[in-house]
Amino acid sequence: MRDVLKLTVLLTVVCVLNGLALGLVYEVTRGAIAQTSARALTGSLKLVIPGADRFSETKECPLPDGRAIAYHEAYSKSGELVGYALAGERQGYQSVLKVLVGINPQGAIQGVKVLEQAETPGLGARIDELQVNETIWTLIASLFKEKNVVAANQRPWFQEQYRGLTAAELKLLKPSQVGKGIHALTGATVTSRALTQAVKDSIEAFLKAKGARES
Amino acid sequence: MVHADSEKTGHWKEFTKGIFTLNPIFVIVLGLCPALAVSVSISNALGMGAAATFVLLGSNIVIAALMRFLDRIFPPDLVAQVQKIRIPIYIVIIASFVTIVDLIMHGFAPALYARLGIYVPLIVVNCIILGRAEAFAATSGVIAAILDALGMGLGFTLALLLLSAVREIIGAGKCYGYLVFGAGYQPVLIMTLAPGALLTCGLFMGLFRHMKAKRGKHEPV
Repeated sequence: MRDVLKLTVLLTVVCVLNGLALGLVYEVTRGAIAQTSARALTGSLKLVIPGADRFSETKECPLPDGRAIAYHEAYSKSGELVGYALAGERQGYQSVLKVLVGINPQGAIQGVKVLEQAETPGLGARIDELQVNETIWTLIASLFKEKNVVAANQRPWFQEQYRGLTAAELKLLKPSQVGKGIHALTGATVTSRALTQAVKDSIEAFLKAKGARES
Repeated sequence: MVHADSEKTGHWKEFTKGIFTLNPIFVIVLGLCPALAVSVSISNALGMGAAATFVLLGSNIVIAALMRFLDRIFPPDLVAQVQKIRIPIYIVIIASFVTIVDLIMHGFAPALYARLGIYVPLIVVNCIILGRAEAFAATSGVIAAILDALGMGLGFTLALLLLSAVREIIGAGKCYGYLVFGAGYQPVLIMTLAPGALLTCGLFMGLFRHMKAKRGKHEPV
């Protein structure tokens, strides 16, 4: 019986020490983590509305069905409204896709950034893939020359397809089809459709709710 | 003199066993779940290997230090009793350590966190960490625990690199993100999925066992 008591005390002490360590580290890192998240958000906002100088705080646009869309207003240096950055999300193949959509006041897409996804690597995860045209052989060859092969600041090619389209033009095309729309990923139709639908839904719901409020 | 020599070989062996004779993936077969999920590309493998090695090092040190400390302050019969609650103790320590690493990386190394952040929660469920704590760190000194962690971590990383090299080259036509066969290559998609992972792992295991048997050092299954 005495032993059980001692073991309980030991286990409690270990847990309390762990809890203290966790609490301490959490406090120490809290400020730094908030800063990192804020910087990441600003980076994403600048990506989806290129040319914007500053952004508003997160605002909520209430929808008729009770939900709300989080969005930011984007302003140019001269202070005029150049667009909105909308948050959208939708269930993908095996994870929830979180996306930031930048539109101009007329509703044309300025840029799209996938914030969170955990789709199948090699298939659905290719929505974040960067286009690589270099082969490993030219890379090795270039190491002996002075050429710089890596293109910095590239955007994922799948997400670049959305630029310039309006919500009405957002339809999924087969990879080999021609025309205006989003070419789906081979073997990842569900993910492609989920992202396209998320972008389309958020734009349509936002413009509709905003139009209703202003009229 | 003899003591120092055998200490050195002993220490070296603690380190190298994790790479060859007791490789976590190909020999002890621990942590397959996150390993196969992550080994789709070489850069993923490097990231996971680095993060897992770091966590393994920390947990081995803390657990070895704690158990040796208890050895000193508790009477022997109580130390034997501690075996009853050893698993909760290890798990609490490992989970806390992983969370602390996650928080510190997020706050003070955001570029590294963007690269490795997704792997860190995967490490908590990696059996290698708990496995080495239970099988080794609990009964070893802190120095041996450090060497064991480094060796196991390196062996884990090398195994992941082998798997991901095969899976990335055949399954995506790329090596570290760069094309290998040119743009016209039709990738063998199954290699990026679970069946391809298990196939590759199994074939490598068979290859290494065959090599071992040929050298006359065959171990029973």
